Amino acid sequence: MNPIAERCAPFDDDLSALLDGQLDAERAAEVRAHAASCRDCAQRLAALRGVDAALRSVAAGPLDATRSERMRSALAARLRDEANGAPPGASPLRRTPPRQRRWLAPVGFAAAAAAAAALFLVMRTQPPVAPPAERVVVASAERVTPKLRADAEAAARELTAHRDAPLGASAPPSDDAAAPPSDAAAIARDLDERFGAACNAGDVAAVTALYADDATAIFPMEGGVAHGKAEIGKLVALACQPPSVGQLEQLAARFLTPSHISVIGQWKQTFPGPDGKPVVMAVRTSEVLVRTAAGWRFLVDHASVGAPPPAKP
Amino acid sequence: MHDGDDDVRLMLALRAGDESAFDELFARWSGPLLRYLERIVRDAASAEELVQETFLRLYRARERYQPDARFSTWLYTIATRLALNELRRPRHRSPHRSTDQEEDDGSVLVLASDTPRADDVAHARRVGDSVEQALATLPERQRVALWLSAVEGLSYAEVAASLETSEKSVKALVHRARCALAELIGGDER
Repeated sequence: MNPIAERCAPFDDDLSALLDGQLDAERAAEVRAHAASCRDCAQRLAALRGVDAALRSVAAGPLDATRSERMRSALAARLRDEANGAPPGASPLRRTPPRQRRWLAPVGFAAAAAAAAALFLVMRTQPPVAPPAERVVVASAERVTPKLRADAEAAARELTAHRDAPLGASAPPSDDAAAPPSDAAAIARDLDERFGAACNAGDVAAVTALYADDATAIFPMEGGVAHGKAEIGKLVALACQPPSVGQLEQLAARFLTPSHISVIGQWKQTFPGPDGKPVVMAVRTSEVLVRTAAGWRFLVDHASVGAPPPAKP
Repeated sequence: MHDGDDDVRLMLALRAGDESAFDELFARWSGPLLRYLERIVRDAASAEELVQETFLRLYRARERYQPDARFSTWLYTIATRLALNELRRPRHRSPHRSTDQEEDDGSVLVLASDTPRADDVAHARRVGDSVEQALATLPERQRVALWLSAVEGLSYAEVAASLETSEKSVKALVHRARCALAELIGGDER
């Protein structure tokens, strides 16, 4: 840009403020009037306006979805850390772990923090268990945020996309893949109730036998994610400890394929609190069942923790 | 860019215990905030961490929130102070950076004065008038003042609060920054 002429100097400092709308009406009129009669200042004003246009074009670029998700999940983890009692600042600025399969881990971070706070309350009433690693906490159904709803829809889409995928070792015999059985809920209820009975009895082997060989279990209270029966058995041993009693209250199930059923369940978990009085906790489950040669088994079992109901006066 | 009333409403909802409002605020503001912080700290990974930290501070402060300023002003004030602190750190790099993402692309640049360094100005011209490159040559406080004013639409008073300085200083910072960019971007057209 050209050097500023002496007659323009009184106005130059206000050119940016004019563009930013930071001059009062009288001064703005003076500066505009000068620029209208001064070619140099008009060009200068246009050049400064061009800077704003360039900046806005930079600012308008789309945000990469992967980065957005990375920040969101890392923030969720830090909020969970804080809700679990870590002092502020104790947790380092966090690199996000590699992307998890979203349909296994739909986490609204604020809801997750609230759920983790409830989890913390519950854990204090229970015998010590293995220190939690990466907890995956799903908000209870009452707290469905737009983000969680979007996650659920994405999960449904992903499950649908898997409809025709190879099923590997847990696939049923090919001649079994005919018309689906008539009642998905009955199949799901049978498996869940077998789970409940074995778990309430503390029968780890019987519970573990209800999972497919390549199953994934996610138990937030027991510290995380387990793949395969050996790992799942360890989680089950932590989860199924009498006198804690779980009871299936209701479920909804539907066929995804003739060999897969999705199940949304609601359980009531009761265990003695530190004062001897029973503590009741809502547990939600999201499951995928698979039909194997040995019968229906859990392929995915994701349990979440809800807040205990408020105490009755 | 955003309806300020909506942001205040969401923040008040969060203060009242509606946790879903936090999701909504993050969805609305994480993108603009990341773009801003990237231009200030000039390191993508640090900028992401600062977005997390900004929202973490916002969440911690939710119960003390008072709608006596625009939400965006409050948010950008938190972010700006974090970013300037980050720039004060040695190499303004997080010690927690994981090694698998460690890559030094040479983009880290800290300028202490309010005058662009001659070699950086020359570099910006050499690489072809990219506004990103030109912006990167500006001193940090000029970058902050110009971006908040020209892109985010904060008033000089609001920018002054973020930078803990006077409106007069902000006016000078913005004008110097805008003139420098006009020179760098349009320099070859003369």
